Amino acid sequence: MPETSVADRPSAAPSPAAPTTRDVRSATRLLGTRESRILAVVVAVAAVAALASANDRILAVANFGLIAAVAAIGLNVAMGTTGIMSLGHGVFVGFGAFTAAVLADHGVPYFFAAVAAMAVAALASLTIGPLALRLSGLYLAVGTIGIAYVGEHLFVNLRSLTGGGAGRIVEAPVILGVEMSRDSALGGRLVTSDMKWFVLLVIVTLLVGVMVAAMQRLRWGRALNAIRDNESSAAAAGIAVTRARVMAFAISAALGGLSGALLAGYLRFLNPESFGLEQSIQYLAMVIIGGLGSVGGAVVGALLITALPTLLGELTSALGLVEEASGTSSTFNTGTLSLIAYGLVIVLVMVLAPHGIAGGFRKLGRRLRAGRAHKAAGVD
Amino acid sequence: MQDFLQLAVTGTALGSVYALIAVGFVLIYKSTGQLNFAQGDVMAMGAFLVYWFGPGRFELSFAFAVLLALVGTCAFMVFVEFALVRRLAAHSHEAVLIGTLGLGILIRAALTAGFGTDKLGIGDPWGSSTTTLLGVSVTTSSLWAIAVTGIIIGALTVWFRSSRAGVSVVAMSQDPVAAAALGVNTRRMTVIVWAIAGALAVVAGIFLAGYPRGIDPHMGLIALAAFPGAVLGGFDSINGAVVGAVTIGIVQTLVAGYEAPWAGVVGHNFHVIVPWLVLVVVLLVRPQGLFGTKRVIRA
Repeated sequence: MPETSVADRPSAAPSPAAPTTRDVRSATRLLGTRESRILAVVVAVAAVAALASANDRILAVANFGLIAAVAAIGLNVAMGTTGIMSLGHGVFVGFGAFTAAVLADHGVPYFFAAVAAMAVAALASLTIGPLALRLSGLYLAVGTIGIAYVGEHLFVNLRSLTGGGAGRIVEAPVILGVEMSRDSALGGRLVTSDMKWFVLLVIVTLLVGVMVAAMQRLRWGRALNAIRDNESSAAAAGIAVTRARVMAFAISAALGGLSGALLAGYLRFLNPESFGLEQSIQYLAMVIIGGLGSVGGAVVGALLITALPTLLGELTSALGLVEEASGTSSTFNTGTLSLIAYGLVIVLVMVLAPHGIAGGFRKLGRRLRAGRAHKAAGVD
Repeated sequence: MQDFLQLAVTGTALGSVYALIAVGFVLIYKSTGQLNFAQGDVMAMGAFLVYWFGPGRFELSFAFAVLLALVGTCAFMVFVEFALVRRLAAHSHEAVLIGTLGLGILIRAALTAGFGTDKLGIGDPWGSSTTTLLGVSVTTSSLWAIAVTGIIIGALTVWFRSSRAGVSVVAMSQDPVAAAALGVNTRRMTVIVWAIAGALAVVAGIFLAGYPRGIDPHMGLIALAAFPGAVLGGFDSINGAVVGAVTIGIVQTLVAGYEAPWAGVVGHNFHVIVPWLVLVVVLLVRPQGLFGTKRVIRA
């Protein structure tokens, strides 16, 4: 269905030689379309509601979701925008997390540790770059599994830096004089650590999201789209394919590194085994479920996948489906149930909405508009 | 030398398991261009079916349990092809890859929910018995693994050469459009290929469960090491996949046998990542593998 796939990518529509003033205008007017305004309002309301609920359990899930969202937005730069499929994204998150943790040990302020984490992850991506540059499609997917395995092996065995199999703790981060890991009082009200992180993470996710979305609309982002759609014709149109792919992969890894640094600061405990293949598949699932190439989709996918175990736990305990008896050896519990749901969600999304949630919404929006147009014209 | 021989035989047996999985990957990839990421988990499912029909629930004899597991797994693969893969393939090959990835997670979770995470024995007749061969003692199940895999691969080769269906599959893998134009029912052939991959996975699961390993829901992840084997052999060559997979199995087992003194340099459990290091090197140096066609690989 070539017609819909073109319509799904409004940014790819004009020719590469489109006037750059339009690029800049659409980039600066990122919040200009009606959909994005609605989305912004919804996000703001949800954020305020979550904060006002002051429920640390909800906030914790949201925080983990937002941390994952930063990594998912990053993976989307490689996958959705440029077509570099990666099953090894967790490794870059790991590089970022351990870089931030090690630097924090040496008293480096958290902000600079996070910047260094991004740099280290980007550098790591350059060493793996040759793989990403030479391969495509299925071979690339299989090759990046190798990256996931080798990375996890490194993390488990570099004991002095990562704590080995037992994991390591991370120094409590301080940002602009705010102790992020402690509850404190502000004007007589309790401000929990989770609230502070939530505010920080919403800001960071928005910043990252807006920057990546703007990048997608600029000439450079369109160049990446062109590479994804047809590498030879992209090269023929004067795009430096190799440089663009390396850059996209590095940006993707850097955002993974940032997510790792955030995770290190928030969780304050890092397990080297949590940056391997399974985590990488989760990032992939977030991007796919959200919708390839869509920043908002990646955020929604990340929040959904992260919240799935909690949501399912609430649902099953409310319905009394699963007796959560601790100490029994039964494996039929919310943990396995949420894994089943996780697999099922991936399969169903691929069958029902291969363009993900974002693609589904775009389709719905088109239909509604078409319906309205019909009515306005009196056809209906 | 004794150690070496023992490791070599054990490695060949492990490589045979990888080979059965790798041939499943390659068969599907070659004839349809799709990558079935759930192949390892289908293998786990097959092994659990043997357990379920055998010692786990129905106490059937091993041979009967295997037969039912074969039928069940083939039926499952046909269902997957009909209900899932066909729809996804209409969208893109990547959609198939991700959809089967989700299917694999689903199978793994369902097996965990149903059977737990403890290691189980599937009641194979070899048990922990050993056989002395060339003066070294090896488990009987590894000898069976090598022999049965050899027979299966041989039979498949003959089938590809001399049966109408086999030749149709080969034709389809070379040029699906031309094959269809010449009267090959590509849809039916695709279903057959998925069923064969399912049967191969069951056999692989039985031998991966051999002493001292047993089965658990995560055994499918071990079988991922068949990917490096298939890539080493050249992803579109069946014989190549067998050679590559057996090589990976032998190298991995030898490394596991001799790695202990080197743990300070290469890290613990280095053998787990050996197949993946081989994979990365192959992809960088000779992406078409040992026997593959050159055109399909580069971006």
